[in-house]
Amino acid sequence: MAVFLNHHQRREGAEPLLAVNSLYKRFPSPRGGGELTVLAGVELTVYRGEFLSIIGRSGCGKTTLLRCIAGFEKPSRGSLLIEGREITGPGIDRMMVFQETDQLFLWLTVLGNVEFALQAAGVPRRERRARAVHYLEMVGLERFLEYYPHQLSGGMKQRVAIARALSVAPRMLLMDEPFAALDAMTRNVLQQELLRLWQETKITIIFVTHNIQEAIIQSDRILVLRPLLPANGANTPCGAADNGSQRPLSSIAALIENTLPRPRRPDMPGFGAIWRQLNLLIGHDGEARTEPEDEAEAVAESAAEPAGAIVLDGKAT
Amino acid sequence: MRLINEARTRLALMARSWGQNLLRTHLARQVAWLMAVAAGWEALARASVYPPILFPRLSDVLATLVTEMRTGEILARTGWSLGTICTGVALAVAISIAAAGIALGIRPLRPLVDALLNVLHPLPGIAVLPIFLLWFGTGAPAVLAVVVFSCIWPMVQNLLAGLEAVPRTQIEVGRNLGLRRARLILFVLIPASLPYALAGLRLAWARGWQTAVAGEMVFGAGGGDGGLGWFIYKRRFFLEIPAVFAGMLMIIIIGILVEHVVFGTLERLTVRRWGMSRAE
Repeated sequence: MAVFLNHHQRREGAEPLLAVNSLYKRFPSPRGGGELTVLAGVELTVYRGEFLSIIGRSGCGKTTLLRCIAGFEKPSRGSLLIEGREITGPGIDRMMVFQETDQLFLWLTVLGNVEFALQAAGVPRRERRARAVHYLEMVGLERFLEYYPHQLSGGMKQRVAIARALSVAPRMLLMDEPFAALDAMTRNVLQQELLRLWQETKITIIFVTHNIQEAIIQSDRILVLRPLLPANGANTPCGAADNGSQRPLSSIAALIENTLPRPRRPDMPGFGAIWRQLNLLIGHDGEARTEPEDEAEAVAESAAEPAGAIVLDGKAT
Repeated sequence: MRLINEARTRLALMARSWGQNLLRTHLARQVAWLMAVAAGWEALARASVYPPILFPRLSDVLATLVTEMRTGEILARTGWSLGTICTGVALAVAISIAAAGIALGIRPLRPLVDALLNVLHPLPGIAVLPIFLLWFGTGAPAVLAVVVFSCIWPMVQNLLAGLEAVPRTQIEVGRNLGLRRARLILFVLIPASLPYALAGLRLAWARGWQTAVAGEMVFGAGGGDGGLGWFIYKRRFFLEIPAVFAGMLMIIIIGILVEHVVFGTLERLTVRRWGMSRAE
């Protein structure tokens, strides 16, 4: 059910939408002096209409990668191309949905928030209302059009944010742990709603999460990132990626094809196998798994599962 | 009959609980205490413990206030003061917006604005009046300049704090939607920082009002002009003490009206309605 993939491996009948080419992102070190490498050697192709999750331990650069795609961060090296054009800044073709529930404009109503986005996108005034109402109906908020954000629950606020992002008809939806601040029940409901929206609109979604179950239930492919920093927090020397002794240092631990049939449930056959693989790749023991033999172990273990797995991890193949 | 009795009991209970609620509200208790203080004042004045010329009866003060309103003198003075302070606050708001824009828009100038703020904010407006009298001449312009001076600093401080407190997420949502510079400022930064701006305006008004009255007392006025400060000062000169108190009452009335009617309404229509500021 789970298949490890080469990052640029061509998918059957799929049309590439976004290409991330040898992306590096470094930030000035917070302790002063030197730089902190957050992302290294990220290679990725995202296909039109797919649901891709990015997963990994905190601090491994999931959000940074998403923010680079959104255009909020400039790559230190490498490039990002959407439909062949280089990403130079934020744009309406890549709409971000944030984790924070303060992403709505508090001074605008639910309807006003969506209409504002449409206005910014240049939609003529007379078309805005109908279009805003349409997207708010899609997320089930047609009875709350005139409410202000402070009158909504956390889950409703995230629904508005999703409707607002979808309303401007972006190429892709970038979601940064959008349900992480919600309770488990609301989270499950919104996961199902998001899947329904994804199937209805055929939009491409890149979804950052640290929740393995969420990633398996939702995505076609799962990108597992690993932290570049050792557990003690010492910095990886800049350029380590170029002169690493054993093999290139990359943020990508694995890219997994999730072939479980939809709709997915945690108690379905094969779910546990993927869950265990991901858990191992993420490094549940608190250590970054950068040693090749760790991955070999993971392969051996997953091969023993009835689900089966093929490993084609990155440049190691 | 039983029904009527029941209704009567219920009505009585309702009336009692209504009365208790009224007494329980904070406002009602404040009003009750004020009445008690007023009664104490009246009693003390009537007991003639202090010379009536220095400590008039409250009833005399109120009577004088009514007379002064009838002749129009006190209203003209109030209008003068309000004109000064409204002009002053408006000018201060314009200057503050420019200063905040410069501080945030031109990076090297940020320390300059901060330095001016730190150095000049602690200086009371009234302290610069003597030098402003030399620079701007005795008269309305000097008082106006002092009012502007005392309003600018709390306003700038609040505008800067407000703009810096805008959540990064909201700015990024705006940028994501393709908003740049002017549109980002107009549609995201300004509304998002409105609670701070309103708090700044409230502070600026309070400081401006104090400074205007104090300034009018110091520089006086030529001819029949001058504000409430001048009115109080002039009446004291003629030992018309109830009128002095009437002038003070007028200042209090304006203060309460502006605080609760003007700013209260402004906040109810904006930041409180949007849940950006907790209701009192």
